[in-house]
Amino acid sequence: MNVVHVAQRYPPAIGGAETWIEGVARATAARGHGVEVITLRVVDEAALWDEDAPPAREVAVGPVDRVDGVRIVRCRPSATPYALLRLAEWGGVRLGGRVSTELLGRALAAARRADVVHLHHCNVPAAFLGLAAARLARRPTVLTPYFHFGDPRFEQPAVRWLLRRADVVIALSAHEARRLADEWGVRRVVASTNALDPAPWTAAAAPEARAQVRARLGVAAGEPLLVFLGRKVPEKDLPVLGAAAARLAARRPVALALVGPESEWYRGARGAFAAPGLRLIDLPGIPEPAKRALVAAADVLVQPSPHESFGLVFLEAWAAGIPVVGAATGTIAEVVGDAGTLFRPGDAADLAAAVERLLAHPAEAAATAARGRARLAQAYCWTRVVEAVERAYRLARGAEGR
Amino acid sequence: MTAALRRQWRRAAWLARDVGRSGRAVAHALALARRPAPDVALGVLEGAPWAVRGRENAYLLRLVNDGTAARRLRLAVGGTAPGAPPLATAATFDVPARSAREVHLVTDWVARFALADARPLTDPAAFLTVPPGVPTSCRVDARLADAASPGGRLTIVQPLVA
Repeated sequence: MNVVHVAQRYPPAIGGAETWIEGVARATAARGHGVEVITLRVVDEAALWDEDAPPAREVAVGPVDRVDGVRIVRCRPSATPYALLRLAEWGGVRLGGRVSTELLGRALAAARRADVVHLHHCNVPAAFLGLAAARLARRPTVLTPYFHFGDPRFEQPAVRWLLRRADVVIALSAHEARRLADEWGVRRVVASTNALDPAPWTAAAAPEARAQVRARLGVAAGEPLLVFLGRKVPEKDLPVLGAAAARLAARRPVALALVGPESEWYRGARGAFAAPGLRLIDLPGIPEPAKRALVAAADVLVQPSPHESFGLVFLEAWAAGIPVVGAATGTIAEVVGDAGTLFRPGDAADLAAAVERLLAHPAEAAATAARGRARLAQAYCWTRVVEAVERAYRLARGAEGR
Repeated sequence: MTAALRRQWRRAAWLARDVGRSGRAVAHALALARRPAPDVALGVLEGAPWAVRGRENAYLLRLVNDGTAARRLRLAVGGTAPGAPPLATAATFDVPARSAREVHLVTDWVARFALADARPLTDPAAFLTVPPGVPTSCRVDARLADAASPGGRLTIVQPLVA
């Protein structure tokens, strides 16, 4: 089967969705499918939103690439039609990200060669351009929306329109699948998950490697090291994490590592993380081996965000053998389950109490992390993801000609 | 003309410009649908979040041959950094059809500037502590000699710490 993915961004751009697209593309290519990805020639967060962004700092990508049997075509973004987008906003359509004429053209050419067009995200121009290409080429579509319930950027008429036009929708959790069907009127939903190969994390989790990293970071014996992974944007509820860390630091010194690309918002909000006893380790997006070393050296992974389409960072923490704390909402609660601790979203006191419980009961914390690692092998492996994706492709092809 | 009228006129002009651009964009997209992507390109030029002068810094380059026949590609890489002489290296690589070849650039941003097949071993924890001081910047320019497309050339401007 020939599959064309149309996605706004693709690795080396970082993110849970980007990792999922790459994992699916590589795993399906390994099973003999022809796989092509049409994406934007954009890696940095800044370049995704700002057409006057500075030149690439650490990664630049070209117009075509081939990795592990996947052909990747990267398209230049076009000038942003601000007036048209503003007009669309009056009609209730709010799209984020860049428009690309080249992406429409390349997607159209690729769709003609494809059996299925797989669209990614639901509130970005690339998804709508991909749908247009698929319709012009008369090809069935599968959509993975990475839906964030409760987020107004997702809960809008344009997204509903797109969800109902895709032949099959892939949800990354049973919770997302159920709500898309019940509340958004999506007719064909296939439930899948995200996945992670734990093998590269094993070496980082060795006790001596962990001790070395903690020493390098200057983390004293008995000083808890908390870690957050993700884009430093307000949607991740970082102020709640800052307030919770300050509460913990009022009792004993705490080190908090925030790892991920900065945003304009964060540059202004960074000062809010200053508190007596709290040491902030502020890092940009770092290479994967460095990230693995840091997570394995931490005591707890904390993800304060109330909206996640999945929460890949929980799998990363389990692979490194550390316990997790996440918000008690929808998909996050489903993913974390009994392999972590949940807190009331937006409640810094409850988050601090959840972390404190794990720090005070290391045996219990280790047991939850072990449950998470066991779950990685059973539920969050690429084999199961690809089975679900292939089912979605078969369903979509069966839906042709409707 | 009142300020409100002038504002409305400006908005209408922007809208007209966007509508005009959209029309041209559709024509452009249809033309691109018939034109293939470049056969030969640099797929990626990737460094670390920052480089350190005097230490081994590694960069990944992927040479892509998307065509139907094997190609011999000449890669030329140049580097500039404050206080260092212009650095440059070049080599030729055979790349089979419909595949990519990974090459690594290794430099200390002082004198060494060489291409290698294998990625040098680096300390994963090196990027967990941001070096003190105000960084300058270094620039890596990579070019595939026989690729006429814009993707035959990639550049990054990376923070460089002493």
